Amino acid sequence: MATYALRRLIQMIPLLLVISLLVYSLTALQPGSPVDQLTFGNSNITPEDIARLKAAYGLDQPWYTRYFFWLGHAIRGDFGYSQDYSIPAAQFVFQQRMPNTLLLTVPALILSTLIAVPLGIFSAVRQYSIPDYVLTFFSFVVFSAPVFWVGAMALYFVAVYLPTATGGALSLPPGGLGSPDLPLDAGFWATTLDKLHYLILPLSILMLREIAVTLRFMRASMLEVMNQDFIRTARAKGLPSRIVLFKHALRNAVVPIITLLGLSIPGLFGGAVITERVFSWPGMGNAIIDALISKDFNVVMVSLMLLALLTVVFQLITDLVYAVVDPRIRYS
Amino acid sequence: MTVALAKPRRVRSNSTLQIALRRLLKHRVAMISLVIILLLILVAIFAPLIAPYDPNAQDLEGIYRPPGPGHVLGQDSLGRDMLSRIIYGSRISLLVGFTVAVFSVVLGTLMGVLAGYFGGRTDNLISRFIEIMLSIPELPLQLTISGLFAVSDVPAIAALRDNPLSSVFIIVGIFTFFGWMGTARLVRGEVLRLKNLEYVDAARALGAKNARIMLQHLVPNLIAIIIVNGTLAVGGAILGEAALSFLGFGIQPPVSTWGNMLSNANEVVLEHPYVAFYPGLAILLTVLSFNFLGDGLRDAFDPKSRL
Amino acid sequence: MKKTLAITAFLLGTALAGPANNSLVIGTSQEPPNIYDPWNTNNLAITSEINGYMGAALIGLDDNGDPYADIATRVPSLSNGDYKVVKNAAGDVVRNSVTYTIRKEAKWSDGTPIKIADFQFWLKLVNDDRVPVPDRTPWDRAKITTTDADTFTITYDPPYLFADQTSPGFAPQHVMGAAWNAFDAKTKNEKDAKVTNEEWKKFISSFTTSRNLPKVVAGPFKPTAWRSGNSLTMTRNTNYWNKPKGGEDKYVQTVVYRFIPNTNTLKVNILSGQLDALSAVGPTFDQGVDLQRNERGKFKTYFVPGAVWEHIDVNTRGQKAKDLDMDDPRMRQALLLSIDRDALTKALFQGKQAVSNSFVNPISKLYKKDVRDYNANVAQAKALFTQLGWTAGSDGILQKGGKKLSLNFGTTAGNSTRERVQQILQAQWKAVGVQVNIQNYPSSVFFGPDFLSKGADGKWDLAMYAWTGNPIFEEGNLFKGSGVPTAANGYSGQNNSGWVNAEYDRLHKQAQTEFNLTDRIKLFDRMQTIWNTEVPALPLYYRVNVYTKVPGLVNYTFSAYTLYPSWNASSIGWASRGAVEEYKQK
Repeated sequence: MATYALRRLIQMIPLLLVISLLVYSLTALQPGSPVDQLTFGNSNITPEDIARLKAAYGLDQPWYTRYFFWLGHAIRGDFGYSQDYSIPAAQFVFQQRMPNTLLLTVPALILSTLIAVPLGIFSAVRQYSIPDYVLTFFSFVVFSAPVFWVGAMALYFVAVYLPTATGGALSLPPGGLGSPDLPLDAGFWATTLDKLHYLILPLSILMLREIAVTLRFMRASMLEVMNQDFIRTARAKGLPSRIVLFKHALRNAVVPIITLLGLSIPGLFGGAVITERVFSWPGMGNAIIDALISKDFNVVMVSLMLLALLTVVFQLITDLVYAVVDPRIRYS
Repeated sequence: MTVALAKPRRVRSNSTLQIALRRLLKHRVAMISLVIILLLILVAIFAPLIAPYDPNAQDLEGIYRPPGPGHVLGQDSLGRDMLSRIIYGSRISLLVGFTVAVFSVVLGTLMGVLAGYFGGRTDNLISRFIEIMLSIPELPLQLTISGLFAVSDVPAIAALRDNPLSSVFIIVGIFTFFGWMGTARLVRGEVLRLKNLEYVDAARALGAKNARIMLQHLVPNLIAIIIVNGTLAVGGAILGEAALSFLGFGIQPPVSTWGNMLSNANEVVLEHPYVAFYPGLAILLTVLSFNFLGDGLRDAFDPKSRL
Repeated sequence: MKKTLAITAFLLGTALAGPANNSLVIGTSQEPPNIYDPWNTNNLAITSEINGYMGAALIGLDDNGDPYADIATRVPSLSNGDYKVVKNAAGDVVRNSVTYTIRKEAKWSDGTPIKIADFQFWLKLVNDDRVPVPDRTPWDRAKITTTDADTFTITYDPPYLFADQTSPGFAPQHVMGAAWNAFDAKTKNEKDAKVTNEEWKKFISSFTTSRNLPKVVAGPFKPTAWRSGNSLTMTRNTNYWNKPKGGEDKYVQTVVYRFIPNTNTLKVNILSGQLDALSAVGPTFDQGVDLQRNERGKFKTYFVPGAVWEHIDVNTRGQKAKDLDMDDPRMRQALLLSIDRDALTKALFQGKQAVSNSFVNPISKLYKKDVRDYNANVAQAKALFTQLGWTAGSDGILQKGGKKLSLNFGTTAGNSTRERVQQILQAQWKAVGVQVNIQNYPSSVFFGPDFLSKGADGKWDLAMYAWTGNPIFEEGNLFKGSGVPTAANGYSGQNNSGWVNAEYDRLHKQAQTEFNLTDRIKLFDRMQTIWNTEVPALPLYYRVNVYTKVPGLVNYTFSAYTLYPSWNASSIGWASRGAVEEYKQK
């Protein structure tokens, strides 16, 4: 298995190179240039100014030249400066955006897994019961509704409906990361409390979907195991159903959930684009879209390459973990 | 969204299709969904007869007028009747959904069969490509590709832009491009399993050509995957168009879709919530119907499932 | 919200914002990428607004557009001899120059006096190709000569029309000089622009970013904390020379900018009283209207006429323009008469954004009031169409010689206000038989090299966008004949319509060197009359800026001249703390 892992690791290098080339070229071929923002609406700008600015930013060179320049520096760990934020792109991504995203995605994943796994088991064990139908219906509704629409409706609910209905006693902030009038020296607990208050809404919206996904997955996985011969045999042999369920079925049914979790880890870092956008959460998802729109190459590259790297690495880890927990799988 | 794990079973000949159809007819939720979908299609076809107003007729006095007599779902940012717009919007939304579903399933099946049947270099090429595309977050990738089309100088694409429906074509193209990969992976797995079965070997031994084997022996057995994925893809495309619209990269006005009726939902939701509420509800109902139908079809093709 | 606020207040045991601690909390929807970059290498509105708190200038302009002396001892003028205009034998102005004396008490925030060297340092970098300054007008033709330790003269050759209304910037040479020299040494022989650019970013970001706050500033406030994605805090700089009436302790001591990208949140925070004021970069117009409805005496909403002019350029070049008579002023007049701009601004903007009939801002001294108003008049429009030979076809669309009057109408995609305007106009044109097809593009494409400037290739017929211009610096450049972008001039210039008028060009040229305001007004009167008759662009309206502030906050005002409420930062204060009101918001 060690050789298998090594081979996969080596295969990753060309894969990532191709991805970086693809992402860079796609970004470069996007309409406009970062210089546009400096010149829009300004009637004093001459084509000479634009040519001079393009040259100053190195944008007069073909994209492949710039790509290799980027690649040469990136290999040495130098990811350049962000065009839009005037700080090193890596600093922007890792210090300013990543923590906000993780603050949102990690609790969402943990909480929704804790809620969804038992619900999924319950749903499977009581297949075709009323609660099972209710949970199934819930999941389908969540899958079928546009995320941003649910978010917008939630915005209206907490920012307009709730305060009106309760005479102002209850409300939640409709977006952002903290109260504007909270003094900067408010202290750790006050700041954390305030942040939590702002976290409730985006977290809930994000969790809805994750609960629905994990719930369906867990239910299906559990059903699959419960229909397998060894469980039937165990039942036929008269083992108490509780023991069959929790000792035998659950152990096997959890394996796919590990896969699901493993594969969702890269997503934690990527943030939830739509949710972040609806609630103006200054996380990775928002950063990537903004950077793409304004062609902030270095930020696009750092964030997307990081996500691609995480995706391939966790794919490998998941495969390896799978082999360890499931004795039927062997890699050679 | 394909979450349910149930694997479509192997299907043999038309009788399996008939069995599945019979099973589907017994599936209550799926049948209700199918009825809703058929109704939606009728609404889309007969929109001019059903809609109370011209969907583009503006009423500058009635901008953002809330639901009331005359305009049961209210009026939008230009005083147009929301109900009529939703009725007309179903045309493009369903068109996008169906075309994307057909194209991506056909392409996905083709690629999956090629990869699975020929294996080796073909398989490697197709699988690596899918792997690369799936390693980059989907939404940013869709944005960049839609950006490319917006400015491309390739004459064919530039000519496309002259058509008011150009953004519809672009969206269909993008979702097809991203939609076929899931189907291809499933098909490939199924083909890998099928091609080593005796009857395929037998056909090959009898000197059947590759194309014939694929068309006559493999594809019919993939019918379950194709139908189920196709149904789910319709909903996926409608949702995807809405998400791109939200980010400002969807189908552009004046073509109206449920998605772009929602595009600035966020800006106005606090002041005029109903403007965002009803188009979203239309999307929810439609996508929900397709998802339930897809799920019902999956059950119908799965001999082990109870209905 | 009340409940949580109460809890928060209880937890902290401190007073909230506002007069209580003589601070000011401002909400904005944008965060600047950097601040106090003396060369303005990013020119976002929010950057300029925030820089207003930290910056000073030799000469400033107030809300009425009148110059006042800040760190210069007096306003230069022809009468006091500080402003000189040099003419040649033929009577043409060949160069002009302005002399400034720096106040003795003008200091950087670290106490170092502001010196002429700081101005020279600034000017040197503006004109250095390694420094990505977007717009060098008029500094690319300016030279500084020193008279004594505090007095210097800046000479513009060729002359600059508004030399007395502007003044050169300056940068702390004693702080940045060494770093610049290091940059200079490193990149002097560098051939790869990307390397130079990275070095430049390193240089400038070590003085302007959240990680490296500006080390010294010249204006009334200095930055003390910048938490990226959250807030920027500035406190009073006691070394700033100009003390407001009654002493600076009676005025705002701390200014906090809160960055709230979601305009919904911004709005809710205003409604719940968590913000004292909004920045000029804030809510949308619709949200402003909604805010105004919900004031309840807690705050007041202002709609300030701005310097952003929305209009539709009509492409007069190319074969299609000829076929469809777009090069004939009567066709353009007919198009303008067919639309009801009053109804449009009433429906969309409650009439708060006034209809425009000239390319000159109504608040400019050059504005001509009595030009033709082009109120909607379908009968007149139809008469003009008929006169030009256009008759309605069976489909109701006007046709002539087998050609339909069908126009492509583009604007920047994703701008919901413009898209609404566009659709209203489309419907109004349809009513008179003009078919308009909407074709929008992302702003980068729309303003990119292949669209607006390529009217000659027929890339567009109608294009809606805006120009931003300070009404002081109106030169009429947008419509000069030499500003028509062509292959020959490298697609230089902003006259995208391609409209050329010999008389307009002659007057424009004359006005460019007409240093007498009264005479210039006369020239502009005629220029506007010509323009208004020919309407190469269909004028729509001037945009307004929306902001709110709570009662009792004084001198937090702006106009189309000052653009941002920070122009008078030193005097912003709370009446209840003794601040004296100098300027009222108009």
